[in-house]
Amino acid sequence: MDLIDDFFSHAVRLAAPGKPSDTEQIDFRRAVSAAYYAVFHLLTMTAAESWAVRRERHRFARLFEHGRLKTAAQALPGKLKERLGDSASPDDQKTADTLGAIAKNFVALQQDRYSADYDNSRVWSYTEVENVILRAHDLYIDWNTVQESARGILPPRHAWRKVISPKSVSPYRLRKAHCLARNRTHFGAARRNRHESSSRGLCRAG
Amino acid sequence: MPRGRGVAQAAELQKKLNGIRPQPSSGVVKWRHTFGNDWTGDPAIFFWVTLTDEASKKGNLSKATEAFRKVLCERIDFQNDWDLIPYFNFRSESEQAILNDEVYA
Repeated sequence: MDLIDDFFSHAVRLAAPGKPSDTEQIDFRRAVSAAYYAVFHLLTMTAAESWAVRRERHRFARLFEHGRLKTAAQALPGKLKERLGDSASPDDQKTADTLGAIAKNFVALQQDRYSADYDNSRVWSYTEVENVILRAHDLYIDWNTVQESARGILPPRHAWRKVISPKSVSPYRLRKAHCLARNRTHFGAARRNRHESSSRGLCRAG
Repeated sequence: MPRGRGVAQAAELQKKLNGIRPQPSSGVVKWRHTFGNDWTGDPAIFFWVTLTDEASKKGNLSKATEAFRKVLCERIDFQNDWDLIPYFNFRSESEQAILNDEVYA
C-alpha cells in the first residue's frame, strides 16, 4: 500500500525537528493530519481488499465514515470480550488486546487530527506531533502483526455495514445503485424527449 | 451536549486522580487535566502532560507516554466507570517553557 507509506513519510518529513520557522505550525498540523490519514486508509483499504468486486474496492473504501469508525472502535473491546468470553486462549486474548490497543490509538488519532485541522487556537509542539506519529506507527505495526490472527475473532464481515454509509453496502445494492443512476439518466433523457415531442405536438396542434 | 459521570461527579473523580499524583510514571514533570467534549461531542477528559527533556527524546518518548497512559488507565476505567474518553497530550519541559501554554501550566 504505497499510499499509506507516502502518508507516513509525509508526516515524518513535515515534523522534522529544527529551528522554529514561519511554516512550523502548519507543517505540524499537516503532519498530524497525514499520520491519521495513513491509518484511516490502512484500515479502510484493508477492509476493501475483501470486497468481492475488485474494481469497486476504492469506491468501497470511500464509504467509511470517520464518526462511525470511532463508534465501532470504541465498541470493539467490549464486543471482543463478549465474543471470546472467559475461556479465551492466550493467543486469542493477545490478539484481542492488540486489537483493543489499535482501537484506542485510532480514537486518539482521530481527535488529534480534528484538533490539528480545526482548532486554530492550539499551538503544537514537536513532541506532541512526534507522539501522534509514534501512535500511528504503533497502530500500523500492531495491525500488520495481528491482521491474520484477528480474522478468527473479529466480528463477521457483514459487521462492516455498521461502519460504512448505510447505502450501497452489498454488491447487489451497489449494482442496483449503478443501474438506477444509469436508468435515471436514460429515463430522464427519454422523459425530456417525450416532453419535447409532446411540446412540439402541442405547438403543432396549436 | 452529553455529560459524562466523571463531569457530573468531578470531585469524586478528582479524589481518584489525586491518589495517583504527583508522579504516575518516570519522566513526568507535571500533569493536569481538563474536561470537555471530543470532536463527536462525546464527554472526554484531556490530559496535558509535561515530560522531562530526556523522556521527550525520540528514543524515549514512546516508553514515557505509554507508561503514563498505562498507569492512569489501569487505575481508573474512564470509559466504563466515568463515561469519559481519555485523551493524552505530551510536551517537553523546554517546549512548554517557550510556548507557555496555559493548559499545560
